[in-house]
Amino acid sequence: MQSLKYDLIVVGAGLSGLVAAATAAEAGGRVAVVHGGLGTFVYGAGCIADLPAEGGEEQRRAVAFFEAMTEAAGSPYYGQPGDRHMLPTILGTFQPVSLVPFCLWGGRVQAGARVSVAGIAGLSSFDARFTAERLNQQAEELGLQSRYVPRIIDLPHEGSVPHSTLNIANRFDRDEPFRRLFAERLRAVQGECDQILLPACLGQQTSRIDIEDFQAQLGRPLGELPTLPPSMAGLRLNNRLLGHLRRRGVEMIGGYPLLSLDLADGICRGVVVDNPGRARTLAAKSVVLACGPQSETLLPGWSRRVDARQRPLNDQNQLLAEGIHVAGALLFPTGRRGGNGRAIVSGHAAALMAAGREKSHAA
Amino acid sequence: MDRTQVIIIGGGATGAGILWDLSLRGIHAVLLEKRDLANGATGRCHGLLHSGARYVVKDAEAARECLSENQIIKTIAPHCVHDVGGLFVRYPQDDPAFFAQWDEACAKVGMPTSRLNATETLELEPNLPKDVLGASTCPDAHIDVFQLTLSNLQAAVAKGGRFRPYSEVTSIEQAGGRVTGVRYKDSRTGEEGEIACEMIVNAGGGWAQQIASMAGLDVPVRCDKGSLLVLNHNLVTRVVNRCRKPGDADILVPAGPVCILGTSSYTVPGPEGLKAEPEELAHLLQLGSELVPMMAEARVLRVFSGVRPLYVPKEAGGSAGREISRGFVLLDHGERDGLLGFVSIVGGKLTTYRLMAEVTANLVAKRLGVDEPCRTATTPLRAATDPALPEKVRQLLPVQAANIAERRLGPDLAKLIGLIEADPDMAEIICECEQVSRAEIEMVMSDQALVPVKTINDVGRRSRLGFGSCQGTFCGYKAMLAGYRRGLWTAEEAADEFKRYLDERWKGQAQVPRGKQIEQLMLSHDLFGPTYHFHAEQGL
Repeated sequence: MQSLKYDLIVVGAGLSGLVAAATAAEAGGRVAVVHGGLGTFVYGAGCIADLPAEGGEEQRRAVAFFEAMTEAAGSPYYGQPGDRHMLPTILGTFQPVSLVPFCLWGGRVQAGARVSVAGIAGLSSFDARFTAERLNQQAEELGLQSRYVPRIIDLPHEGSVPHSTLNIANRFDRDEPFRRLFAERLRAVQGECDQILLPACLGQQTSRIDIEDFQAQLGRPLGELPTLPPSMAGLRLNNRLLGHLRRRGVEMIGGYPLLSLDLADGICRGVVVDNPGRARTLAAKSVVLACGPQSETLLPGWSRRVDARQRPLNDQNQLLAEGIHVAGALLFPTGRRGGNGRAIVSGHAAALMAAGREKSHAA
Repeated sequence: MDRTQVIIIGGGATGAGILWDLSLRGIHAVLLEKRDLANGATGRCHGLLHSGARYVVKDAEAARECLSENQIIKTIAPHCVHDVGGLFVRYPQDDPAFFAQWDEACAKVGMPTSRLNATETLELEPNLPKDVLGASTCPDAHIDVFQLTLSNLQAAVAKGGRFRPYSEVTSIEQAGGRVTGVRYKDSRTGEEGEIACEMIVNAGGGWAQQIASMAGLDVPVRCDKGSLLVLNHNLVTRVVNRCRKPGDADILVPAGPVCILGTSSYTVPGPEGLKAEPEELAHLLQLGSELVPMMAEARVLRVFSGVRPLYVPKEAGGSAGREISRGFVLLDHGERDGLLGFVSIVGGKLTTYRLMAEVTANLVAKRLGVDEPCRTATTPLRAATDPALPEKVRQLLPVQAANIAERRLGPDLAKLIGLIEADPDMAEIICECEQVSRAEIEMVMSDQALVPVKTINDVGRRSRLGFGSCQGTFCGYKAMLAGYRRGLWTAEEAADEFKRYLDERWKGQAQVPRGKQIEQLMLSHDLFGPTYHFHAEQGL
């Protein structure tokens, strides 16, 4: 029974997988993303810090695609490869980032700025005094000209449910009066500040328009601080990108781990998914393997090297199988530093290569 | 100068038990521990409350002691014991002659046991291999070692005993052939202090030799390293022992939400800087899979190593780790070495900690001329809980968290209820794996706590925060903020403390050989490294 045949199956729903799927969907093919669960992408905040200013043609193309894709998804990025925008973190450190998700952009260091760090009374996962105190120490050490002042606001509880960023974000999504009250309380304490920071909690579905609207009520730039997982910054970005893929017709097949690739005679013809009760084979013309650094067992005999078209090679440097392109962290097994930039570039390239389009696109 | 009757050195179960025993007899005592409670062998063992069945063949005396103490501890500290029972399972690959020896030896020491055939065994423990020959039951149990040590300390402090964690003894003072006191330094701040006393008890476990050498004495203790694996599920519901001559990886203990496999046995030079070697872990896992085949697929959360401090007098010669008696020895250095007022309690097992404390305190009381008997065998470590309290907590916390809190806090539930009623945010579950509420963290960190905390790990030893699969990645951060808000640490100290905590948690996971936990560890590295620029793993 091979009624289902995809042009491309992407394995893995991290950043490189999502970019690969969007790239393939753009060309009009039938595309599915198969994943066993969300990867680590959703746990971060989506910051991109690993792309050099002169990154070459492949990078330029991938970044242009990614910018258009995130804009269309309602969660744009600001900044350029090679930039060093300093973003404050909840732990009171500064993180240099090149491409910044829109909801964090308003919090980047601006010389001479006086910044309110807004806390929410009762929230266990964020402490504005701690963050502000540490940010001031670190800013001084790094010679950054900005000052941080903690401000605590009260938000009403929903029944006796303890505050959490998830809880507040869900109310932010659905409860317009709550949003207005939230903005009012922030306005009341912000004083003479130039910028406002607050823990990421401004909805998990919200788009740029929603957050710009909220910011307009405050009259100054607003930046979220990603919290520890589940951070609304990463969750929101993930939700917006998934919505975008669905609108582009990409099928998401999630929750069941991949058992193996359908490999025979040096050709990959699809993937085998661990459906409850039976293994299910999904057929595809090509597969992009973007399921993280721990998944090399899917490719028995792989040397961990790839050819110029990101296809896996064996120990004799021969092609392991046709029809597979590797992307994301699986390509960089030893690189543990946040590889979002590499994920985008390699995910975009893998999808173009799978469709044989990389040359024509470059021309 | 600070003055007391007795100074106890070493905050494991034995030291804590001695403090409790002396306090019950009205003897003033101070317990000095260079780190936190249960830092040595106590906190790095299986958590097995032995029935003694493990020792019946080789050492009937040790078996009898274990059996009797097993029953006493189940009575005086039921909140520390999960009375799951144990099985001695007969595997087809093991020696049938030993099975017969074991049966006979059990009968001789009066071990309550009953035989199960293969079908009955598999009904009780379906994860055992299908070809087991059968099993025998025994009264083994799981004991929460941190809770046990803490309960002894809390009970003692409530009676006037004093516990000083992070106080490392630097010298033992003596005059005219008697001990007169100790000097110590705060191992966190470096601040020094002095306490005068009439007697000193060396309950240093793996460190007993070093402590004795400060008084110019030799207490030969051999450090025998055992490594253990923490697996993230209860693969079995009872303690599973392999019925054979004691060897590696032949005991699996279900411990709350996890289970613990161990151990190995290697002689090491000292009690610190322990590390499990990759081959050692592979060996443990391979043997563990013989015990319970699905262990081959199980997730290993963490690896830890501890030392059995074995007392090896010269006569014992070159015996290897498992050949040396698990019994304990009380050394009266007044009689033995001519240094009056100094005693060492060495060897022994967690299960016999109370008896070791009793024997030690008997000698101390005699030397001090105090005519009070030991009461620890009959005095509960904790008062009974008013049944209305758990009822109330179940309305405030999720059921699972409420049940766990009831067990851990007992009568202190009243404080928990007060905190949550005053502030509903206190009902938040901070540690999801171990179901620890924010209110409990506040109680543990309170300056009213009988046994104070100085570090995030100290919070874990009192509440189990960070002991589950996230290994503190998420909840450790929240505990840091809670300590900061309480004024336990400044912002900078809090950040430094959190870095130390992460290092320690990462170290335990980095030794894990495989699977999901490595992904969890990478997530933690990634979050605090590239994502927050807060702390990078060492060596990068």
